[in-house]
Amino acid sequence: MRFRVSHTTEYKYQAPASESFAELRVWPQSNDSQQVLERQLIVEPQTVIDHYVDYFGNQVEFFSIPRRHNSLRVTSEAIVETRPVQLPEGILDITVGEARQIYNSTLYQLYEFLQPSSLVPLNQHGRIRRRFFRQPDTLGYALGLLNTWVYENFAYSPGVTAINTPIAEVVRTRRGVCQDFAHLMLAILRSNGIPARYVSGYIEAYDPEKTKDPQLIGAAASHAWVEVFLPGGRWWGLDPTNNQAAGERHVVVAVGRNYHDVAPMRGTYKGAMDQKLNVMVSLQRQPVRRAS
Amino acid sequence: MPNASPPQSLDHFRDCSGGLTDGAFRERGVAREAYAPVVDVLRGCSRSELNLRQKRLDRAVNDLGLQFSEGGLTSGDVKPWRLDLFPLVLTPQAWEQISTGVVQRALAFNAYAADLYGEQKILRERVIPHALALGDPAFLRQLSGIEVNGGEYSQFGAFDLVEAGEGEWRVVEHHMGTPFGVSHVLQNRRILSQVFPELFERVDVAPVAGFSTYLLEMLRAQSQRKNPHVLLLTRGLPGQAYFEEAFIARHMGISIAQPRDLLVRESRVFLKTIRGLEPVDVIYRRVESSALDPIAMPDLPVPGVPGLINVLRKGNVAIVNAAGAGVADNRALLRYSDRIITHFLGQRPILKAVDTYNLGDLDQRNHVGEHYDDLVLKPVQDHDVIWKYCGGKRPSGSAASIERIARKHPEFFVAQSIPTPSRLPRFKDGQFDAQAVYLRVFYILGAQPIVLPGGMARQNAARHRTRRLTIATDGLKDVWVPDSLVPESAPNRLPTEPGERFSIGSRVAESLYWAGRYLERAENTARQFNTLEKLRWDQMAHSEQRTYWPLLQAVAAATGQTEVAKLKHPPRDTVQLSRSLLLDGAEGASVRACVGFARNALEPVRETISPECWEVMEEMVSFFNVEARKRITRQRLRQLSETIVTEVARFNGTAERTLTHDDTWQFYRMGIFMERAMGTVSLLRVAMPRIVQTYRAQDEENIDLTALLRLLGSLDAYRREFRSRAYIDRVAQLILLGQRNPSSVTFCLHNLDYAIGTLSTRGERDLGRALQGRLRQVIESLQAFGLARGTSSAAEWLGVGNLEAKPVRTKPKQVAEELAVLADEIKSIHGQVEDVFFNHQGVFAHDPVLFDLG
Repeated sequence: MRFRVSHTTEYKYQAPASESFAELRVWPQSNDSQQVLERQLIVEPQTVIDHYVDYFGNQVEFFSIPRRHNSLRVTSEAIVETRPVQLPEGILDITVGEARQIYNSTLYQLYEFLQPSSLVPLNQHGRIRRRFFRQPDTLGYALGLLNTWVYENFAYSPGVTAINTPIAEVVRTRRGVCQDFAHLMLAILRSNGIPARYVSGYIEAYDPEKTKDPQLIGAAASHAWVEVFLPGGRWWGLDPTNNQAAGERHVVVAVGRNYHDVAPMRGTYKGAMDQKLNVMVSLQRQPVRRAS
Repeated sequence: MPNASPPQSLDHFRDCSGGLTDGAFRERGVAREAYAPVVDVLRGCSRSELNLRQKRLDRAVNDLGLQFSEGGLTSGDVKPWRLDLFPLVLTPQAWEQISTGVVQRALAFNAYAADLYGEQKILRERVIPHALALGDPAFLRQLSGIEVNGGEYSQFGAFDLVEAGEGEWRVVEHHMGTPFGVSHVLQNRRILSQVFPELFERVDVAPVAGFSTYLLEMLRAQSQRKNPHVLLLTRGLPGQAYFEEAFIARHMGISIAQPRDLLVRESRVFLKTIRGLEPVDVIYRRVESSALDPIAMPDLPVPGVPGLINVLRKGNVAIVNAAGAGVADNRALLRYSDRIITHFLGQRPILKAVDTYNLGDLDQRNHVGEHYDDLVLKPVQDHDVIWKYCGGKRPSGSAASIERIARKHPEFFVAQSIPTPSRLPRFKDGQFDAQAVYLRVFYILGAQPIVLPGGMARQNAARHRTRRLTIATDGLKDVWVPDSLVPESAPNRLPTEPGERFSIGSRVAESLYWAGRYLERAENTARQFNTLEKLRWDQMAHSEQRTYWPLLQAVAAATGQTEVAKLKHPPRDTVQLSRSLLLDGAEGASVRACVGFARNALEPVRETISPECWEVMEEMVSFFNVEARKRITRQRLRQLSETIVTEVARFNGTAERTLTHDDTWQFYRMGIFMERAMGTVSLLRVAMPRIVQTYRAQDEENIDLTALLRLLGSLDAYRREFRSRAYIDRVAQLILLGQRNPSSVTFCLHNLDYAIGTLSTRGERDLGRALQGRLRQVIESLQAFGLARGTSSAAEWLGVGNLEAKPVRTKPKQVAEELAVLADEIKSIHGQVEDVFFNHQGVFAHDPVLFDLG
């Protein structure tokens, strides 16, 4: 499928800000399952934009605006073509026990996707954790079980959590947004020895080809889900917020150990604390002209 | 034989038993060869002589610390460190082993850091357990793949060594990230040789003073530029680290910057200076890598330079030691140091590490449990970050507290078995006892590695250490290396061109500007308060008090006490008001608060003012702290205000005499004149409209006008100038236009203009010029001031005109408006000073994009 993606972040400052610096991760990835065909970034006020590729392979852009300004508006636009995800035959049928053995032989390579961090502490909530990933279960079954469990037991309620809300709090209140669900799921996966990473991206809310399509959650802003490292070396996306595997209607932007590695925009400025933030994301399906 | 036993009465070394663990004596009374000359000299001195020398050492060290005392109330309370009479002397064999071993180890662990941030071959080949390296809190994934100059992460570092008997030295710790203590090496040598030159007479000791030059050359060599801009980056917290930083920076002639002094723009990093933004080429960092850039390290809420890591990534700045160099200090690696040296250099290790056990490993943990009493527990890194990983709380420093954390988070702890270190004599209470000694040796890498021929020896150390070494609590020793062992023409480097001097930083300028403003405000308030007190009680009838209330209000308003200015009647208890005017704590603009603000402005830039100035400042602050605790009486407040006027004058006199009259000094003066102009105008704004209302030229002496002149310290000036009673237009002339009256607005603005004119901001960015033009306009506009052009007194003076028919036409409202405009003008000049010199909005305004239409 082909999408026109537009992601706008706008700050309005009460008092003029100066010495702004910002780093962005809003450039969709090009990989096996998606291709970026066009891309541009517009920053107002106008400034020089520089760029690099980080350790996790994400495209990072950054800029500075030293002079005084009353607002800052960053718009990332891209045309991305996604393909259906195709997993190697039988990969999900191996047992959890077998998978763990395979992981154990490559622990060095997988190290950071099994480690705790401030956003994803491990080995808490033993009762929940131990419910999943029993040795004889197949990997596909175990992963699906966890994905659905998060979906069914946690209410999507924007505004009740912030990015540094501890997982323990989310578990207690059973409420959160896609970031919280992703972090929770990473914690359970990693505590069980299943290497996994955090994904930020976008999702298409409605399927325009269906008349009565259930709305998917997370389309109004940046979306987040997880990717599990499958034995054999493939990352496979799971979206607990929508109880499904990541597919053609997911656009991957950045991957990392947790939210800190993929934050769409992180910056500083000098000035008063009160600022108004406005984020707009849109994903429009584009007609694809097929070569005959 | 030089070391035959002297008579008992003179033997200061009775407690040194000799033997294997005695570094200085072979057997009781017989000094080892290297120490014989020192012991001889000391034996030749009486006990009282030695006591005297030690006292002089202490005093010399204290004098150094004057500027840098922690806590800050009374200087001299805190000894920066204690230097012992008895030096550590290294034999030629020991120095040979140490100096070659240090370079070998530095090179190997540099290769390790480069590998860890690059291909990680050492982990792929399973030379060391990967979890030790990847789980190191100092390992920052964000830095992977960033190229480092010559692949050397730690160009300047140090190792802590201990003599394990039989002349074998072993490594206890690495300090390859941000090594501390080199200033102490240089100072210890300087002080000991000054206080006790006889010690050096028979020994040829290698000099250490040149080390800072080598350090500077190494730093400059990091950039391709002919005259690279090198600066030292510090967090600027007062304390020993800052003492060292100020010392090193001064010795190398480079400036000190804090993170907020730097700014990233278009992938380059700049220092904010009074000349604008100056590009920075090399940063000598004294902050932890994780505190360099809050954007690159978002988990760690510490201030840094946003975007700095990206500048590094683009190769537009060199950072020494490289960001991430701290991984070489990981104590968990010490167990594998032989393997690391062999793996990277293919050489036989020269210096071995002391036995180190990683608690993360079950077998090693069990071993530690069995031998716990012989081991020292340490975190794998000294970084503050580590406590965050261990549940967020820093241990109290007690053994039990660190044990508790180590039990819960064993992967972040090691245990070391420290061999019984050899002991050296320490002078204490009139004689020498024997103390264990640790030695820190410093190196500089680069084209030609150098090991500082000397080092920092410290006596003892707490059992389980949780913090970076604080030198204050440890006794230090000078360290001697035989000069003959140091290569004659050590590194063969060409002298570098001095190049153009770099400008003073905006923060320094801003600090002095505000120090000037606050001290001036304190002095103004104290003096005016004192004047009013005298007026009220010496010259006034009781009923007249009400008349003078507005003037007191004016003083309060000028000092920012806006609430007082709103009261219509004097409060019943003016003592309380007076007290708050003078003594209110941190809040508000009381005299005490202003002095405190001035001190706080100066503290982070102490290296730019003289120790004498700082001393006066500290005395003023502690004077207030004492006074504020006393019972308040009117009499005491009056005395207090007098003292402050005198003290500020003393500060200004000391500053005038002891500071270089350079840009720094000019900013201090600019602060004074800006504040004084503002204070005068704000006093006029409250007092004048009211005076105009009641003023009639033919009146008797106008008490309000006279009082106003007194408040502005201008009564004598008025009398000399006009030899008449106070007329409103003349008073206005004197206070607004007076060329020689230090309180006049014109005088202050002229001096501001002059100070800006002297700044070394000439060149392409002639920033001050627009500001000067603006100042001159304001001075010009003062001539047109209605109040000062009134004709009443002139008419009377000349004896013409009919005063009844031609009354003064200036209306209170007009006066108020004119003064309001003037106040705004001056305030906007202050804003411009800030924009041009401190915030650099002036430079940014030159951005082409800003000239876009619309």
